[in-house]
Amino acid sequence: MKKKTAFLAGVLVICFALVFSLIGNTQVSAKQLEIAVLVPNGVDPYFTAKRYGYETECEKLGVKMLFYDAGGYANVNKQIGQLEDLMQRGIDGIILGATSAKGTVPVVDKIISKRIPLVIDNLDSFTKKPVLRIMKNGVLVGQLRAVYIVEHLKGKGTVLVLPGPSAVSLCQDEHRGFVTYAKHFPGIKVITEWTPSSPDAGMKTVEGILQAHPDLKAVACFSPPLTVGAVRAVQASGARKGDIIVVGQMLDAGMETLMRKGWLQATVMCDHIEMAREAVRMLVKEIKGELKPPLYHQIDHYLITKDTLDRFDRKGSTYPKEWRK
Amino acid sequence: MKLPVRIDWSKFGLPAAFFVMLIIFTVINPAFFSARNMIQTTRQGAILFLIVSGQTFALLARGIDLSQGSVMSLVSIATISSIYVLGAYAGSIAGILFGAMCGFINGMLIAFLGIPPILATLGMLFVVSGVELVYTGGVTLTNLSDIDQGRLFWFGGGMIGPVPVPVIFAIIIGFLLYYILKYTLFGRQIYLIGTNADASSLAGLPIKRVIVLVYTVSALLASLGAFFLTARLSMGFPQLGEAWLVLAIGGAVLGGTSVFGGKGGVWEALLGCLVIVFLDNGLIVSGVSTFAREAIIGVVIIVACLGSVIKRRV
Amino acid sequence: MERRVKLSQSPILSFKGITKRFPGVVALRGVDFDLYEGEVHVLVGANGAGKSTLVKILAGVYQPDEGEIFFNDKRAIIRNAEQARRMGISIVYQNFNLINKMDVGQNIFLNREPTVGKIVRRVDWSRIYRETSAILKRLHVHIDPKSLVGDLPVADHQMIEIAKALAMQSRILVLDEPTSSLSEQEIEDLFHRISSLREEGVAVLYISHRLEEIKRIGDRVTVLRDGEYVGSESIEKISLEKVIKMMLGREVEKIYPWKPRPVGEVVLSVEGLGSRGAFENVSFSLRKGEILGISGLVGARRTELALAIFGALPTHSGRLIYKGKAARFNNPGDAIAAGIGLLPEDKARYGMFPILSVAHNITSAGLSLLVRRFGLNPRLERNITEEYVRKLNVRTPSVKTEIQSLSGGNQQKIMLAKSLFTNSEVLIFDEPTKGIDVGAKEEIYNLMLELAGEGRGIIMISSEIPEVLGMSDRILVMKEGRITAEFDRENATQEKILEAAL
Repeated sequence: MKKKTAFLAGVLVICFALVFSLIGNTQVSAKQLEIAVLVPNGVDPYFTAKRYGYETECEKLGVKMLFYDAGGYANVNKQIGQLEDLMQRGIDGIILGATSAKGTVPVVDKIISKRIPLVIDNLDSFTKKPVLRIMKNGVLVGQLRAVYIVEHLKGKGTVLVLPGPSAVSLCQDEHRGFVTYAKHFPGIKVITEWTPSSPDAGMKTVEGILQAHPDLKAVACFSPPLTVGAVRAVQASGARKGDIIVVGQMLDAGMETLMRKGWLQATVMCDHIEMAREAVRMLVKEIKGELKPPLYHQIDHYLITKDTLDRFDRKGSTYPKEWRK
Repeated sequence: MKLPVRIDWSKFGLPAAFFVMLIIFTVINPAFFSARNMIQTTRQGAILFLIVSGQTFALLARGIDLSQGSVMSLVSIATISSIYVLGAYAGSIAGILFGAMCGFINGMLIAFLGIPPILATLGMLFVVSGVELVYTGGVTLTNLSDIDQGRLFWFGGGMIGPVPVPVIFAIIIGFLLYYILKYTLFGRQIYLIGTNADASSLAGLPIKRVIVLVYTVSALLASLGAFFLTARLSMGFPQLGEAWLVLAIGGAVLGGTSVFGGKGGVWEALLGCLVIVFLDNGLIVSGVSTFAREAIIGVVIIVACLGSVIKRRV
Repeated sequence: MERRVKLSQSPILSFKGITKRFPGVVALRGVDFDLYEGEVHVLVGANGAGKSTLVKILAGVYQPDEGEIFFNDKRAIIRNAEQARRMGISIVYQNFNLINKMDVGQNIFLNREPTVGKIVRRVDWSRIYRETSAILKRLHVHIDPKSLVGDLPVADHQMIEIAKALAMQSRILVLDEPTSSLSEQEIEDLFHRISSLREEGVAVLYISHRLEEIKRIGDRVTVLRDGEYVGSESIEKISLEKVIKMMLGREVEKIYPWKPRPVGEVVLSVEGLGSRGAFENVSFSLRKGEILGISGLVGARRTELALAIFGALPTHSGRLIYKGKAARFNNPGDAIAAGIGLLPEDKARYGMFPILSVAHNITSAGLSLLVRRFGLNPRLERNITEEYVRKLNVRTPSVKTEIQSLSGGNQQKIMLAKSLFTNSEVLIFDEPTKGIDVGAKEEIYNLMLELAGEGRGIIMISSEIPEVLGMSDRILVMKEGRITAEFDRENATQEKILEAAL
């Protein structure tokens, strides 16, 4: 009885898989350029925003785009499978956000040797062969926060750094950027707490550190949830607005409110949607043979405060509300 | 010569260790014992207590609830989304009911389809986290109206006299749960079913009904915990519960609730969560690094699990 | 049969002044005891006499608080089960340690699987099954080495356990109540096998409550009483009466205390009841105050009949008439509510809540009786259960004690209290005296008579024919799912019952 049910369920799943793969295949068209975008974790808001960038740019250039999500950083094998399938079917070009810097090297090497145009977008694959890259600069992001905090504390005070999960290389870069800058100011004392990137972890940590270091003057947070959590802890501590400086990462609706109310002093931005568009442009140029030498494109980062909140160009970092995948 | 009174270390060992721990942390940094630190730590403790109590119900019935973490995330999102439409009070209740409903479905899967608890709740974990990530696209939900925000925040961050609101709620709910486990048919039936399901069946106990209720209560308590946490943060976060599942199971086992069913209760849940919360906070306040802190808490939980297994064998 | 024990040689194992204490109880006090190669040494004792504690010390589960163990004249400490095994000690427990989801061969060679191959060592399955069938053949049992243990009847489990011990080349074999679930033929086979083990020089420690077996199989007997060593005697020099006297500390006049008593109207009728795959067309009736014995061999489906009446097994034909009305029990809850109580045969699996207290065990089937205005009333529970403990003479420190720490006989009394607690008017006792000693048996018989005297109807399922003969007012005999005979007390004899059962 039970075995039968399990068997039926299995058959059903296989049928679904077949149907879906057929639907996927029927969309192939003949002449149009066809590129594939692979992201490691599609539900992450960062990739949601970038998908908007990829799509709009492909539409503008008249390129057909196939979107593949590995469904999480752990699914390295799934992404490798997706890349191998793409090589089989003959794709014009690939934009890759790698699930693993090391694990993807063999398949990326194969793509390069097959001369399929490839752009690595931000999440690196450590291949030794020349390849197009468009990257954020984690060290610079960390440093920007340090610059703001050091300046406002006039080079003196205790600062808490919440870099996020210690295993993520971008977090390590940002942390390194902060610390190497702050090191030049002997009056600045840096405490680092690696935590999961969640608001309750941020809140709990800041609350605890405020007990251990009542003289805490600033908190640097490396993700939006951590930023909100840190602000909640500062609010609960009885400190007035601005007594403890909080500098965050990116800007969502909640953080914008906190910034307008004066609880969040600054945040570091990058135009990641613009970055996605640029990745598409790089790939199309490469396919058409307009761009030859391998190129490492570093995008810009900038810091905004309450004063500049209404004056910066949001086109590169926000997508319209009605667009939702 | 023997002492006239023998101390039963299996019963008083953990409370004694807990008080020794409090004293050590206070000596290292007196700020640990400050009023503000006690308030904020008991506030965290209250939330963990609710979740651990829920897990305790599942463990007592010789089950386990792996979906608690993702149910918490769901409640966080559902509460804020509902408040957009229904206002602070009705929205909060709707959010909590969403979570409880997941538990009800868990219970039905386990009781009526005979799916083992570990699989049913693991399935629920994936379904729930999938649904909410698709719904939110991973985006945090904030920007409540000032009135709603104020009302919601009171539940998580407010105070009644010198006591945080979640602590008051946790105390009331704790007594209620103690009463349920000790003085109601349902409570006793959980212990009986958790100890020996075959014998319970021959004793005429309504096993299916009890199982459905157990998982509903487990999810309801996780939902309440998520609600207070969401209220405190005033935001809906799609991965809110991820880190809490381990603490929930660890806290229950640490306090002395058996993973083999039939042994444990509210007191054990309270002890377990107090140890975890004060240990974590004390280590932060004492300036112990993050990595060492995680390792210490992990070791404590593993040792507690070992203790539980060894006790069962003897 | 000639029994030669070479007592001139020194014992393979001896206990000297072994004492073991548990909180509040001294389980063993200064026990001396020798075991020689090539003897069958029977260990007897009443409830809580310390037999199982002694076995657990031998198995390395417990460490003695005082005293010494000598193994081949050398002082030995048995730290754990693995060490006991290496010393050549095998223990076949009353509740078996077999894994139901593995086959017979896998069970017998569990954790000692022979391997082949030098670099990649793989399990030598053909050897496992070859040796398993050889051992089973030596035991005269016809079991396929590849059949799943869970699919086999309980009687076979016993043989598999013994086969497991044989496969380990044990020098000391401890058998704890080996015959409690075996039929007469199987017992005969087992004794035959034990005799040939003795010829091979194995020392057998045989624990049993069936006194008649002492004479049949034993060479020497050691009696324990309340944790104390009473004495050891050679079987030829001691009478059964003397053994009983040593066990109880007093003379036994009569084992079965049956007395005639008035019997009332019919309380339960079973009409043409059938359950697919178990039994067919079973009809009988039970009167108030009557003890109805049901006899039969293992596999006669008596337990299934009890479960079907109790609502725990679906039926496809027939009906029940209870107190003059047609009744339908869809689940045990219905049956309990109507006033039917069941004492299950396998109490570890279907009766006990091992880690819960005596009180919680007694009240488990009738919780709603404890509900007062503020829910369950613990004081009421304590008072009522203490009353039962007193009435049934249960030896327990308190009603808060975990039931698993009590001896088998006391556990059985608590199971009895559990079926009484629900105010049952019909009681079904499935093997009520299985695995308990003479003293406790007598107490249970007296209690059954008292209950019958109060006007309750009792169905007693038992595999021990003397017990059925001694305690029943009327006797039914079952064979392969059918009732094959019915006797009045006066007409029943052991021969007639056996004839109907075979």
